[in-house]
Amino acid sequence: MSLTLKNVNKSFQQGDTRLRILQNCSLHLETGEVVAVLGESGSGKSTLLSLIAGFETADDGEISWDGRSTRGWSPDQWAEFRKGGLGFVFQDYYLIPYLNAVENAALPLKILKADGATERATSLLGQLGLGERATHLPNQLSGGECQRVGIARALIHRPALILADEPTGSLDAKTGDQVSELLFRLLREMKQTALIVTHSQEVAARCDRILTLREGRLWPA
Amino acid sequence: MLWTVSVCLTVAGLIVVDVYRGSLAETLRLQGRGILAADLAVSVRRPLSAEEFERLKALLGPDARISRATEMMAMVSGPAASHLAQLNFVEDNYPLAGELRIDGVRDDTSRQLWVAGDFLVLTGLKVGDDVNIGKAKLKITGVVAKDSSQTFRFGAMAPRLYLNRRFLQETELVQPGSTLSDVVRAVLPSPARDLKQAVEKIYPDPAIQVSTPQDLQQGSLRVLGRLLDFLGLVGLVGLSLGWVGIDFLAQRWLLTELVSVGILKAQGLSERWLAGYLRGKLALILFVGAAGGGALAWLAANLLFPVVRDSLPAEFALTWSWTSTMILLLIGPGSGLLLLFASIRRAVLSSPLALIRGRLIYRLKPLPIVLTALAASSLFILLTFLEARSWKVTFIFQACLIGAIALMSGLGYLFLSVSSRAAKGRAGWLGHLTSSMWMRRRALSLLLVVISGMAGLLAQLIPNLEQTFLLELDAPSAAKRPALFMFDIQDDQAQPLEEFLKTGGLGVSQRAPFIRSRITKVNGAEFERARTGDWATREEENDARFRNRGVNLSYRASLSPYEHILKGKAWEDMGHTLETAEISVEESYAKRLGFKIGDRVEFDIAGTSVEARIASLRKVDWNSFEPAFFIIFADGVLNAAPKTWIMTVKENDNVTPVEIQTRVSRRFPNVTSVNVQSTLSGIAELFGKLSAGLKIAGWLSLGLGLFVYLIVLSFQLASSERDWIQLKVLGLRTRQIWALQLYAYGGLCLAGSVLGAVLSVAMTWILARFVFDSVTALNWSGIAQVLAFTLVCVAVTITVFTFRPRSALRTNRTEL
Repeated sequence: MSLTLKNVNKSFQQGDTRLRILQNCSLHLETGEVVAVLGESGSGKSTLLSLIAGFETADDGEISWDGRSTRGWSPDQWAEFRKGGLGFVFQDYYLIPYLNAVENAALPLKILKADGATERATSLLGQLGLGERATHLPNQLSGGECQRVGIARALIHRPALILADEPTGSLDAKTGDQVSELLFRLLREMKQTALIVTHSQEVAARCDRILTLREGRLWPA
Repeated sequence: MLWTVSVCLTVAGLIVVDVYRGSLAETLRLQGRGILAADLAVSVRRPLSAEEFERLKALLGPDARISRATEMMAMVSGPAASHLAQLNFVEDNYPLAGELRIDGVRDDTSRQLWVAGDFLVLTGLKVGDDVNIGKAKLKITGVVAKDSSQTFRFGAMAPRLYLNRRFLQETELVQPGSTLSDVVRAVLPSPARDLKQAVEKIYPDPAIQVSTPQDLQQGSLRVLGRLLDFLGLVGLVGLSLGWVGIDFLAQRWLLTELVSVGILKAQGLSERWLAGYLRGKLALILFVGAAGGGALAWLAANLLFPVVRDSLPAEFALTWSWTSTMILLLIGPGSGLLLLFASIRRAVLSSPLALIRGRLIYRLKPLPIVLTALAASSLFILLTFLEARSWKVTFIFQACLIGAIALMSGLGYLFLSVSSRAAKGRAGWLGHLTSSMWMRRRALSLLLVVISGMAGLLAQLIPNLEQTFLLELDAPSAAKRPALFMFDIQDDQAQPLEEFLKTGGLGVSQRAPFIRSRITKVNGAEFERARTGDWATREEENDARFRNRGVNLSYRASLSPYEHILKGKAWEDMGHTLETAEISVEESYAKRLGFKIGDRVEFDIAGTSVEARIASLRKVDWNSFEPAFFIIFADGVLNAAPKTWIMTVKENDNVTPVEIQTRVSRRFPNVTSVNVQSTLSGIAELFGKLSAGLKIAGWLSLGLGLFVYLIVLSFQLASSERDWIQLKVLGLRTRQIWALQLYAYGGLCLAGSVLGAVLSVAMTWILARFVFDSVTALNWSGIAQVLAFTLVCVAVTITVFTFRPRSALRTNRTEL
């Protein structure tokens, strides 16, 4: 599934000032492509992800999936799309604290009412080196382990696009490298399309393409 | 600002009730001397002997100013009609304190009579008219414009009339066994309290009651006592809800402060400085909130005043009491700082990184936690005492609360285990998510069940108790009641009076002998409470008064249609042997005094000792307005005892009760008769007004309960914000998330509320039985309303509570 952003604009009102975050921002992602987005703090990276995920609405411009415009999508249509079409990896992992590792990883499949959710989650966690920790709760896992569960949860339902927001941002360099290694290995194996927002040159270097968000637009690095 | 406003609203609901309660007590304190018309009053429900009076006079000392009075109910007849009146035969110097203002002539030499304004309205008489009181003829010379002794006297049976005591003998109203009170009032140079103890110690007769203005403040006036009890309990409930509300508000405030504390700690500020900073800031918020709450409560109390004015005495004035200030300070800054003592310590000892991520990771040693819990419990007990002003009520209330919490925790745990197991297999991933949340966050889930249960329990306790009090205050319906209730009928008048009525076409419904007595011993042990001069508690004093006030007896050959045997020997089998007589005791009276079948009770009847064995327990329909007694003998033993008679007259379509009263009082001037219909309608009107006041107090408590509920629920929702965001990111629709929240929280809240409802029934019974000596009545519609309110409250809170999934993508965020 391909993603296209065409001349997307987004601004926020802050006091008397109108902050223009994205200005005529365009992007095209082909199926199986992994793209890194670099940019300074406040450059609009989070806004970009929010627009792609449907958390925010663009002021104008076009966001389309496989050529289908998302303009006018209702919150329910966005929710339906996110359910099967998107996988998120967050900087702070965002695991549900009262579900154990395998239950967290299996959650997207359970929401989709797919069969064999627990088995598939157990298998995926095994690939991520968490076979022994599958029944542990998030507060019993280290930061790196939590992020691996987060990756498993993002990938388990084979979404159209993985959106990763600083996936190694909360980890030390060594753990970050390990997590990054695992993430990219799985992305390649599963031929997943991904957009990764990062400050890390090492992470960006693993991607097919690197873009920089500057003055509200995406530029090739 | 939000915290301050929330604290302000929480304490306002509690204090507004306290203001009313304090104002009632303060009005009573200020009016105490006026109500008593003296510093000290000694009253006895019989004529005081000359010897007793002289002893009392000697004890009061030469500097005391003394005034004697005889108070009784009697018929007053004008040219056209007669009416029941409360006669006060007073001396010239009455009142010694307070005010009795008369519009008219106050000439002590004339045969004057001062009457309450409503007496003229009821009888159609006017100033200057002559009336007959017993055998005496007097002229109405003035109308009572103000009588401070009538403050807080709700629902008098008859209008009050004043006349000089020198006419008492001339009226010939005082006959053997007549119902009257002889009162000696005194104004003293020294504090009355000491003298009260001296008088109580000297007089062996427990029937002699000594009162000071302080006694009135302790609720010796029954209706007022009930009103104060109810308001006190609403206050206690409000206090408990306020306590929970302040705790949650303070905890939530602390979570919002963690990031800034982490940053300040990372900047190198010491733990001591940070603790001081947090406590200072919290104290300021709570103090400003509490002060605002006090001001808001005062404003609300004033705004409510026109609505509840009819429920209160005319002299009632809103006053701010020191206990309100104490409660305000202790529940606001006091409890907040104490409850957060350990949490603040944990916060300042946690690492800056954890704090910036919104987490409290430092684990305290058990000792500070235990000490904080002990201090908080002590403060709560102190606050409860300040509100209840009785250690007995304080401990019963605390014990009930602790018992309720323990029970709710146990039952809540059972509910969580059973329902999560049931949901896991059947309710799909929603059920799985919910059951995981309940079981793996067991402490939090249980807390929500217990808090909802407590809020539900406390909020439902008030409607139930209100119903209980209203039942006690309930004016019985006037349907199928006798037209007249007559008493003080002399032994030799009973038969002629019955015949007189029959001649006039009137039927007697019931006729019963009336014998005054005292219980002296039960199973050989002294029954009356020896007067120590001072009682440790109000309950002890009430018990002593109840035992010592004497008991009226009767005897009959068969049971009246308004009573039936519950337990023990059938009436027909009762009788007397040479050794002992047999009696039947009314069941609630027996329960209160701990009497049981087979107990041997010794009575003093006009100086003669009579022993009887309890042969049965009876149920009596008191609302029938027919002659009924706590203790009755079978026909025989008491037939020769000195007695008067009570008689009820059937309704007659051709003769009004007033006409019957007029006829009877002309022929039998000493006989007193009560117009049952008009008395009942007067009582119904009064209780209607009182119940309006009670309902408003109940609504205030309910409002506070719901507000606290909102605080707790929004706290819970906010602390799970990350989970909801995550589910939204995973593709759940908003309404699915609402449904999940309703399922998860609504289930817990509803379970807690139902538990609370069940426990409120149990607690109502305990309080009614052991604290208020009353019969339990349940307000089912109130319970249903609270449960419905709870569900609406949960639904509205969940719907109103919003979260932004975008916040998951921001690096600078706070975990709640």
